[in-house]
Amino acid sequence: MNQVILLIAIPLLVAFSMPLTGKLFPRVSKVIALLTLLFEAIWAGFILFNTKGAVSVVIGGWLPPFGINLVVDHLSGVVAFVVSIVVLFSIFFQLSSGLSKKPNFYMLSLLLVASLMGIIFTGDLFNLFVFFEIAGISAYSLIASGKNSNSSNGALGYLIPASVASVFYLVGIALIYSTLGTLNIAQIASSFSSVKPILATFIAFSLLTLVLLEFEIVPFNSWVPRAYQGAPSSISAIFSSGLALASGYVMLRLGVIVFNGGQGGFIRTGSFELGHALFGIGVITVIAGEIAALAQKDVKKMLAFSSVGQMGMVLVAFSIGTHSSIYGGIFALISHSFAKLLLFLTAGLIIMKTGKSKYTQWTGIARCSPLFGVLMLIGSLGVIGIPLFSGFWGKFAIIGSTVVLGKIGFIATTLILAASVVEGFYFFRLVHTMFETGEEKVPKVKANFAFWLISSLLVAVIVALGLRPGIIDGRLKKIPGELIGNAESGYVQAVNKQLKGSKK
Amino acid sequence: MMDFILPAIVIGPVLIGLLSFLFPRKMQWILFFLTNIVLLGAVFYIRDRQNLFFLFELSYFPVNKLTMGMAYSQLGWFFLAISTVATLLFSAFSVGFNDKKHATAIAPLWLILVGASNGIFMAHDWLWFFIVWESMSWTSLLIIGHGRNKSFKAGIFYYLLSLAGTFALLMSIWLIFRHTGNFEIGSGILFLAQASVRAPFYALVVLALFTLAFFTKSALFPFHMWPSLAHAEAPDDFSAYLSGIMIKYGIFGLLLVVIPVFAASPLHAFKAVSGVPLPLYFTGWISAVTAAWGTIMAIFSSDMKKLMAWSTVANVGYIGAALSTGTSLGYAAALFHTANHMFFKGAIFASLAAVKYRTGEREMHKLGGLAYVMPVTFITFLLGIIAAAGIPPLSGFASKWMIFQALFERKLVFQSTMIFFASTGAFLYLFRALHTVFLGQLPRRFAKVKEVGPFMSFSLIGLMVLMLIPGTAPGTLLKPINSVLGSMGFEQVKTGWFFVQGSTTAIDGGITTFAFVLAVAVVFLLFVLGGKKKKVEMLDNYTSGETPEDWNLTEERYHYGNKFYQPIEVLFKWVPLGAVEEKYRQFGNSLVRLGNLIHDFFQGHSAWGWQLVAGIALLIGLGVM
Amino acid sequence: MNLTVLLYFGGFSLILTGFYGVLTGKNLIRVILALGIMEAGVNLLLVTTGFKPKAIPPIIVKSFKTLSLPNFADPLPQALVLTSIVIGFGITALSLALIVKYNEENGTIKMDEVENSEEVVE
Repeated sequence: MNQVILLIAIPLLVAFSMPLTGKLFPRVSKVIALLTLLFEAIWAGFILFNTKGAVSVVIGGWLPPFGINLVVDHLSGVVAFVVSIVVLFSIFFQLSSGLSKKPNFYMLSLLLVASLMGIIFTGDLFNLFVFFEIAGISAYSLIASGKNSNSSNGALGYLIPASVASVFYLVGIALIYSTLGTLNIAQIASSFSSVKPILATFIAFSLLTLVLLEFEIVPFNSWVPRAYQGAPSSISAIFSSGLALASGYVMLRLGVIVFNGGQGGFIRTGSFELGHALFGIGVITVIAGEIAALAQKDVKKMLAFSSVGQMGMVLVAFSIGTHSSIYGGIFALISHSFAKLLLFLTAGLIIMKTGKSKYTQWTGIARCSPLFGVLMLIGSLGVIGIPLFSGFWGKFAIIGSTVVLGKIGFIATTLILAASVVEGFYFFRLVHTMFETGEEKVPKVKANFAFWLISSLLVAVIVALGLRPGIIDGRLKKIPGELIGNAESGYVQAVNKQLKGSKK
Repeated sequence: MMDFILPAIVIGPVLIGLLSFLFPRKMQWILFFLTNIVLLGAVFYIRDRQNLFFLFELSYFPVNKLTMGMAYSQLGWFFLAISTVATLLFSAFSVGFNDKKHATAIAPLWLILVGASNGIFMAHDWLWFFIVWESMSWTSLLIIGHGRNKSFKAGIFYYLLSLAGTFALLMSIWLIFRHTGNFEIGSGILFLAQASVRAPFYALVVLALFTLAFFTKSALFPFHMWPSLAHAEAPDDFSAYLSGIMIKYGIFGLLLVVIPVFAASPLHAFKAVSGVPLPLYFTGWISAVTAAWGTIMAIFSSDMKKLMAWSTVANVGYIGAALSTGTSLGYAAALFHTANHMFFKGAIFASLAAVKYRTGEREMHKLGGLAYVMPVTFITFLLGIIAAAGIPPLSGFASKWMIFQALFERKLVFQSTMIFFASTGAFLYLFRALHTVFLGQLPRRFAKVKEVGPFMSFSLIGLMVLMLIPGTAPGTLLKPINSVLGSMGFEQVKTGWFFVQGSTTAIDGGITTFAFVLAVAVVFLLFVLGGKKKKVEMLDNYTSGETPEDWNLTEERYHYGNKFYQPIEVLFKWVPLGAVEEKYRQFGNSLVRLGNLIHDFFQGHSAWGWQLVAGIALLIGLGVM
Repeated sequence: MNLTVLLYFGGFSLILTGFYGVLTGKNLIRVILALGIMEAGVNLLLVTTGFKPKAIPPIIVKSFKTLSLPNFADPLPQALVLTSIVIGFGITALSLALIVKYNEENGTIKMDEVENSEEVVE
């Protein structure tokens, strides 16, 4: 448990030694990068396996609030595990496809994974900002490493709004520090209700701007289509399945623990109904994302907008803040990560082999190589939330918690489900086009062993979660309890206990 | 009694379906046929074993101790039995149909679909019902949209409606769960019945959501257009299954939920019009409109599969109208007609598939005279349309008669008129189909067409038998239907093997059959003894010795089946028959346009920081609201 | 008006000035410069949170008899500002590099002139 810092330190170490080892032994350095990612996955799994409740880990002997602490609980453990697997699979795919020859690519992805782990585990708001910035810097560079003419456009389109939003975030930090005198998340959480209502709302807005931007919420997310299209497919996959997942996690943590003081229910800052606002913006995101995806011909853009829609649904779930909605939101996030990863990698492989990025050009691909059609189908079913596939259980819980909210909830549910109908349309349109018999002859798409290994693992996960949600249910169901209420195993309590210890 | 036979009839076909992906196509179809034989045995093995159930627990957090599974019910068993019998015959047909030239790869998916279908009929709780319902939806989409571009458009339209329906189902399931704390169907119905007094608005919303789900599946107005697309474009041998069995899921759902709620709720809970609760009266109107609409569209169709698809819509309208009377006679009539329609529409679609198998044509005016070369197919089709038109002594007569009796009992004048109009109109289109496809002159290019092979003939003959028996002896189906009604707590219909008592009068299948046989014998005698007969070549009479090719005209233009009912079409020109489809299309187009707008918003380069401002403004606005 | 309020005011006005530049700028270099102004503003704000009138530098020297702390300036914001400045520097450098790449690909450093191209090869 105390060794959670390794999840951040080791990839950083390997990343910074990469320029040197990459020069000397280019092949070995790639293998080392991959081994590091494998280590991340195993270590994160080990930490998740050993988690019994929230534990605060002190870094470098400086007790919080002076030092920085890392907090491991079920939520961060689960999210870190999924993120590490997502990054491992995407980079393994990228490495095996032989696209990125330069060691710098792997250095940047290691930086990205280190910063994502930092985002997940850190217990300090400023540290969170730092990790967001590192993630951002590596993300911009990775987008720009794409080999198409949208790459630098996509990178700049992400960099500028994200930098503006991070300035806002820093303003929020300054205000919190000047009013509460601490930046430790747990400490802020226990005293946030004493902040003046207007100021509290202002702080919440400043912090949330950056988080919502990374969480792909409309209208903060104008970077999404450009960046996804410009980046290499494996990096798009990491954005959708890793970065969005981590940002959703931060949204949940800040929203439920800090702004709402762990009370559960709709988030309120003073007299401002922040929860209602997030709920509304989530519904708008679902609708806008799905309808925009409907109009796309470019597969990667379509998948990007579909991610936007899914994140909107998750935000709706988080904003409600009941046990079942939080559970549903996390379930939906995790299953979306796996399903979208499969979709992005398969689509990326097809685009790479055929050079065709629009679904209308994909006619007949699955006639020659049916397994790709099946992979896209299973991924789609997982994302849409069809029963027997992983997305269903998340969506099921979310619908169950929105539909009971009275008239507004009923309307919102109707809108979300209507958007899901649209989602079903464009995914099946995509899959069907692949199975159509086209006029032109299509070359057979071939994949290597690594791709089949990754995709079959992902299919297994999607189907297994769909058939038996109980596999991860045991850990997931403890999460709402650790966030809401004042349970002994809760996040805030765990850190506060340590703080009391430090005062003696 | 906990037993594994219930899950076996669901998971068995699914597993065999998944396995059969590995086999060559011919094997897949044989496997499909064999599985259906075993299923038939299993279904009759579980007959009347009332306390059969299979439940299992699922670890799923928001619901403590989530149990889901299947249980035997008389209603479900009735549907299961008729659908299994029909599926077996269809599968026999498919084994013959899918030779090298016509082979499709749908057998594994179809097996999965059969499993899901069995699951729907044996559902014990909403969750299970929902899971198998949705699995059924998307597997059927994959089958309908199999390969061709045009059929996908049909399939996706069907799937969109169906997805909207399933999501309505999802919402209503949670709305009930919120109060009952479990997903059981039985307790949900009881709760809704109580709620109809205490919170009528809530009960109506939930019922409306359920009804929406089932209406989309059963293609009742305003979702009446999807069969004409999907049934027509689906693989030919699958159309029989689609039109015979899958369209009945909605009817099953209505009987499972909506009807029991109205039956269980107190009399004063809903306002009543001529003894029918207002919501049911409303669905009755919708059904009647659907019946009339389907009939008119069928009259105008020149594609034989489209014609029969519209006829299916009309028939579902009859069934819906019978259900909406809220009397046990109506329920019996609906169940009876459901079974009959399953067999006769299956027979019709199978014989049309046989025609297409041999000729490759779907447009009616390109065919003709096939009765000479395909006698078995012809007789099947003939019996099918006799049954569909409701002429004694075939099965459709008895059930249509019962529907009218049920409507008369409630004195529902308007609905009776509409249904009467529809079933008269049925003569028009059915006769047209018979005459243009099977009678008249045989085009020269089809002179060498042969009768279909043994498997398909077996299937067609089987379907013939299934149309004849209930017509002569309605009791064969009405007795099981009576036990269904009994198990649901309704009054039973007075019936013997041959005899049925309606609300105003009674009929006897034996006597009508006898009269019919006698009449046919007399006519046949007159035909044999009558004057000289001469065979006329196809083009002899139309062209007066001229060759149409000289004027660049094709033979089809001279086929009298071409634009057969143009006068009637002119008559109905003022009715906006395609309006609903047009509305859906416009809606879809505007969605795409909206999507492009949203995308442009994202793509706009000058929106660097403005979206942050817009986002914060939106947050503030929504929060203050 | 005391100094703290003035500093806060200065910080916010720098941020808003920069934000205005980001909103209206078409030239990428200009946008990056505006971003720099925003960062300067927020750094000022951060320093101000640790500002106390008549404070002494937070360095422990031997002349303190006890650990009862005198009027130290808060050291933490200064550490934060250092980090923030470094990050700002990194972002600026990276974005300038990206602009160079952008210019190579599109032949311009204005955003509005480039249509999003549709082809993607990877």
